[in-house]
Amino acid sequence: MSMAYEKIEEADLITAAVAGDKQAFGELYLRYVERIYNYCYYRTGNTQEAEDLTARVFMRALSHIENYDERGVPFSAWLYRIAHNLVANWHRDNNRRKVIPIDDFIVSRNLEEVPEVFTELQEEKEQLMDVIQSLPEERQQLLFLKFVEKLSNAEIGQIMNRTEGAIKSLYHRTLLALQDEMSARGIGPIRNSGISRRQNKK
Amino acid sequence: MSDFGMANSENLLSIYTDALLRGQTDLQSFLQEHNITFDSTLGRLVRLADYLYTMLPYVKPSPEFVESLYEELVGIEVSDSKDWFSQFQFERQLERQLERFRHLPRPMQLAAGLTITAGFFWIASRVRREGLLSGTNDQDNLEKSA
Repeated sequence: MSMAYEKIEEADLITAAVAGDKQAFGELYLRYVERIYNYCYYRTGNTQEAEDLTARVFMRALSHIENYDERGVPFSAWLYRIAHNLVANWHRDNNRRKVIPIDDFIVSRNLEEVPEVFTELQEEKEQLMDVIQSLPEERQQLLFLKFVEKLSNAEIGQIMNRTEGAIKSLYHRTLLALQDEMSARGIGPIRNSGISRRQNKK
Repeated sequence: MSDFGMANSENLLSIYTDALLRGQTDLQSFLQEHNITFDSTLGRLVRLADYLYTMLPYVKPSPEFVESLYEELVGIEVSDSKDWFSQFQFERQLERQLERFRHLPRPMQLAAGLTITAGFFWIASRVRREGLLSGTNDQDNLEKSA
């Protein structure tokens, strides 16, 4: 992997890639592969599918790079839009396979070093993913961009083609819906308090 | 949402989440600071954001995958990429200079344009004169040798 390209600014790399420099594109790939992989992984819940989709995202980006307009959306947002379209196609093609297991969920918190806690948390994560995947697609996308990619409302707005204020409202509505669904299924942090919106309504 | 109002609630939830993602806040102090009760609707949403932050970690693809896809994308080595890049950087610099020129006030643009044009004509006339001089010298030499 080229060392010289590492120090080059993104805008210059893009210009070079548009002009046909594959190594410049390779450097852009290295800068974004993890983020796109994360997006695909959380949207499919499967390592192999995530790898396959990630590869397709970058292949498509490479073949359409000459159409990329710097003044339109940032390069990252352009990549996410490609990923979003490919994941949407993937879901359409795999419509019947509704339940998506989260395989080999990467663990990162100390609690998970204890085997029993690990199993319990693994189950909880699978339940959470199941609830998230029951939400409308744009809400799933918003949650992953926010919590996994750690993007601001403005950045998410550029990817989802919405205003910052619209994302703020959508985020609020998404958490309300998620909380309702999680309370109904008895999972998540609200479960312990024994109070849910549905219970309150009764 | 009666306790805070929808817009305020949306704002506070976003403020908390952004601070959380930057690692700059903790739940208890945020709830206290904004006078949010633990079991209010907003309190529950803030706790849910905390929960999602813990449950959705960033994952890494395998290095083998990253490497093999890189090889596939980059493919064969691009020959003379160094030359290409130095030319590219020169053009980029030129573009930046032109961009800077475009943002100058009109009188300054005019002055710069006139200076450049005058300079160009001056150089051209010098080259022409020197060419003529060397031409006459050559003719003189020829006549002398004859």
